[in-house]
Amino acid sequence: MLMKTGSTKARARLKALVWCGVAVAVAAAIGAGSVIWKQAKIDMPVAKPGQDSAALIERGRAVALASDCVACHTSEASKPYAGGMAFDTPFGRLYSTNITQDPVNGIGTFTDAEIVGSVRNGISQHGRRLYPAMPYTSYTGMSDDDTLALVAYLRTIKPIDSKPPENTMGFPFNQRWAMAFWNVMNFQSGRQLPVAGKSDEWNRGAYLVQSLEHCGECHTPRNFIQGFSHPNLGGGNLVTWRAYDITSGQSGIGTWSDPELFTYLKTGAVHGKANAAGPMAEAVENSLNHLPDADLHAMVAYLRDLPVTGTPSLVPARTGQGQAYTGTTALRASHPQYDPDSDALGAEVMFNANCATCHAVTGKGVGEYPRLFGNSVLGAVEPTNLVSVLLRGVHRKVDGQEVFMPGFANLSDAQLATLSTFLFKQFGNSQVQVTAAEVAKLR
Amino acid sequence: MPDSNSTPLSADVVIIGAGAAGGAAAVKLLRKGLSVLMLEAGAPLDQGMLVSNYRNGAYKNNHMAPYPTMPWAPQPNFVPHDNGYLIQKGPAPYTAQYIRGVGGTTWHWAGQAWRLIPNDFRMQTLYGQSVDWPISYDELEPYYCEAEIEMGVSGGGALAGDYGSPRSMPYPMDVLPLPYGFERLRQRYESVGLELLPGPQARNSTAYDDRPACCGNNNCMPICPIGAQYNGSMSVRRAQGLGLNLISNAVVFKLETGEGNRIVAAHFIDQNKEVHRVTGKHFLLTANAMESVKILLMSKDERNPNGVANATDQVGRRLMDHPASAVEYLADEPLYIGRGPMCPGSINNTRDGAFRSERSALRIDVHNDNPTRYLTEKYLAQGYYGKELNEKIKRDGERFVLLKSMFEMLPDPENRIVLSDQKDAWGIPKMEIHYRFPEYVHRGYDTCRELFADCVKASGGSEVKYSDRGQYTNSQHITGTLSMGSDPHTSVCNKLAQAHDHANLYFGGTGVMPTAALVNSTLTGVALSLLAADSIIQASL
Repeated sequence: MLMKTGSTKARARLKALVWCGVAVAVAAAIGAGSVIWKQAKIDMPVAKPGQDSAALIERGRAVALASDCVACHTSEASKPYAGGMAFDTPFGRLYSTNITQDPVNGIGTFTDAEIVGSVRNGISQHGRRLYPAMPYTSYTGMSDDDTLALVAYLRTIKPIDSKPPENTMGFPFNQRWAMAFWNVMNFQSGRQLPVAGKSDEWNRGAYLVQSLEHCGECHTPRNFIQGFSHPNLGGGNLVTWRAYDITSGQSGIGTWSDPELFTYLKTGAVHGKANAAGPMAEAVENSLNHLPDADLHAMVAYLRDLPVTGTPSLVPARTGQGQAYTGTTALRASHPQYDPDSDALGAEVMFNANCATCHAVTGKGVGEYPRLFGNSVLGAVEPTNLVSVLLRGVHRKVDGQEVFMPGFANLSDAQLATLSTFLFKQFGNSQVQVTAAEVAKLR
Repeated sequence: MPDSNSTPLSADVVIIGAGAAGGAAAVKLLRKGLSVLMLEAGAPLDQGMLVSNYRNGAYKNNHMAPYPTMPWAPQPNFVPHDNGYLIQKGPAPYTAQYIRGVGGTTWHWAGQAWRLIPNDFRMQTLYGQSVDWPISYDELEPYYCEAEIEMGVSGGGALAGDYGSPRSMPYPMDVLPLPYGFERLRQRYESVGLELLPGPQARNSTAYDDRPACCGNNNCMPICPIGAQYNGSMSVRRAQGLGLNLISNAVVFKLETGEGNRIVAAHFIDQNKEVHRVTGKHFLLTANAMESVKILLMSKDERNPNGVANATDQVGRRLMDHPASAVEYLADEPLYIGRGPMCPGSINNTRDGAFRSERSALRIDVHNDNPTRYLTEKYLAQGYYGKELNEKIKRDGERFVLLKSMFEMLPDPENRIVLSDQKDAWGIPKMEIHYRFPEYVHRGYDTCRELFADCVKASGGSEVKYSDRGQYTNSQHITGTLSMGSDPHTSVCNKLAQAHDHANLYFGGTGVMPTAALVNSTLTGVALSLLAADSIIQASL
């Protein structure tokens, strides 16, 4: 349902706007006027008197980081929060808004209530409905104190006079009011409250995972009109990427230790196991890496406690599959020819020429360069992330350290299909067969 | 092969030669809105194919081995024996090496991206030797900046600064660190007053231009396997994204002149031996300092009986390179040479001084090629085997040092390329090369030998082997054949890189350099090509 986007810039863009189209039809049959009205109400929190404004702003900065606002609301690094990032959908193109204090192009003239409404209710200035590319569906859980702090912080963002391009949504998808009907079906406004009987750490983790970090926007499956479905955090599709199951089952994080999970959230890499690419790399780079360690430990504690999804015995663990490649010597003895224009180019010839330099001829990795066998992407049941990495590479910068893999989009669909199938067979889930058509779809 | 129905054989600018110089110029011209058609004699080259050819090939020490030779675009090759493409007329050999294919010779180089220093442009005025350039360092400086951005150059830093070449912009990337052994040699050479610095390299020290940082595979030559090192195909690909019309396997054999002696067309023969004609408003020749000469000399007509741009018989003269001498030895401590890129640092404080009126200046490269293969072959030939062989390779491999010094050739009009009567498989004449070394270089060698001895002593060297006086190897920095100058009787093009004889013919690349100076020539060749592109842009306004 979702369309590919050329870049891998942000997470939320990949959520398509099937919502509104389907919702218009469905909602017409519902006639739920009163419900819509109720949802349109904005629960404006009341500021506590005598707050230290510097401390409030600092807290707001932390909330903005944890909510990763910058990832979607920035298209040029030199213009943070000035919006303009494109979100391709089957119905046209959306652009993120300028949320600097610019009075014309930004949110300088928004009232506090209008900012709160945008964040927690999907209702912007003058009652204008937001598309749920903005994850108000998750942010609605944001506490009053955090929301007020966020507003205070956003008020300090210096105005940038930059107008994002106009959306190019066609009728009826340009009818923003229709989102009200989608909300009836898919959106429950309300704060996330602590769960009695759970530790403070668990509750902090739950709040970060479900509300601020909005993990579910990608990792929770969606229903046919793109609302949240079940199981919670059981894995979701973003067309060009798969957001894996992050519950504690075999297909999720069952084979991960707590320190590994912590390291992954902090750096995006656990040697031999997983390496964040695409939208997850951005989440680590822009947000997770900047969280206090205690917050990351809290997220781990919460994730660890999520109900296991699926039937564990039926799902192979994503990690620990496959083995080292030992065919190089035999391959060399066969005098292989590399014809870049041939769709019949052999998988091992391609592997040796394009992969082995960094990942070693055995696939065991070298230094920072990931080990292939045992890696969770190669142990997956769907080829999405492997093919996407081959097409787009990896870009991740954490603590000043850049991790970069070039894309190999110069290889043809057929060549990449052959190579991917070999990589799965040798280093991971040997059941996965990749076709040229699948590569073409992900390209 | 072009399909003349679908490929327009005409453009604002026709560029001949799809290497670094042509590619960078194409990017610049296309960004200014000019249409560009590029002709390349060789075939498209693919990194995966080249890595595969190298990894699976037998001749690991022959940098040309992975590069397929098309019968219509022969290229010089001397391993396992001279393939006879270049005809040596002596007295000294000129064993040039270059690649004909999309991307050109930068597919296999060590990526050293030095600028000249200001005094290099004023050799005649300052030292009474060689010639002055018609432009100053300051005039070329903006183009150096552009070239460094296009190619992705890392360099500078606290230790190296600007290497004596003043800069208006910082290096695009931080300098790559010296490998361990180089750091040790740097410390030890200090005692004899020699400064070993981490060099400027067209090699990523961080992700740049959607290419990864160098991870030290140590086979920059014959092929960087990960694209961390720049090659010309990267600029050509960028230009294609901007609308470049590239025709490969198109061997240009004639430039056609018209009214006012303007160039009106380039004629090329394709892999099926069919002939095509390409027209344009401006022509930029960036087909390497030797192949470009061949095209000009072949283009004889009534107006230009000596060939195009050759009214004063200057095309192909003043052929230069950097003759190199070498010393190898074993240091008294393990250095583990062979980690990191192949030429990460060199001795740079021997490049300039009053002595240039008497002898060639020099610049000493510390080579970082992994010595294991070389030592293994050497010791096998000496009869070592078994455990003793292994131990000797291990011990000596850790301590092996190879230094190479470049000398500055003088622009001697008798060092030249002329057309041969012999033809290649597509009926195109081969080249004859006349080449000799001046005393100026030999006297440079004498000083170099003393400095080499200082280096050996400073690092406790043993088993020392010097190359001989007069026996110099090519550095593959082909320069001078299309010299830039103000006098048509001693040069081929003017300070705009425009042919003296033809208003719409321009040159780029290393052939335009009127002096070879002391540094690897690619960056200067690309900068000159960008200068030529600017001249074309000005002429198009």
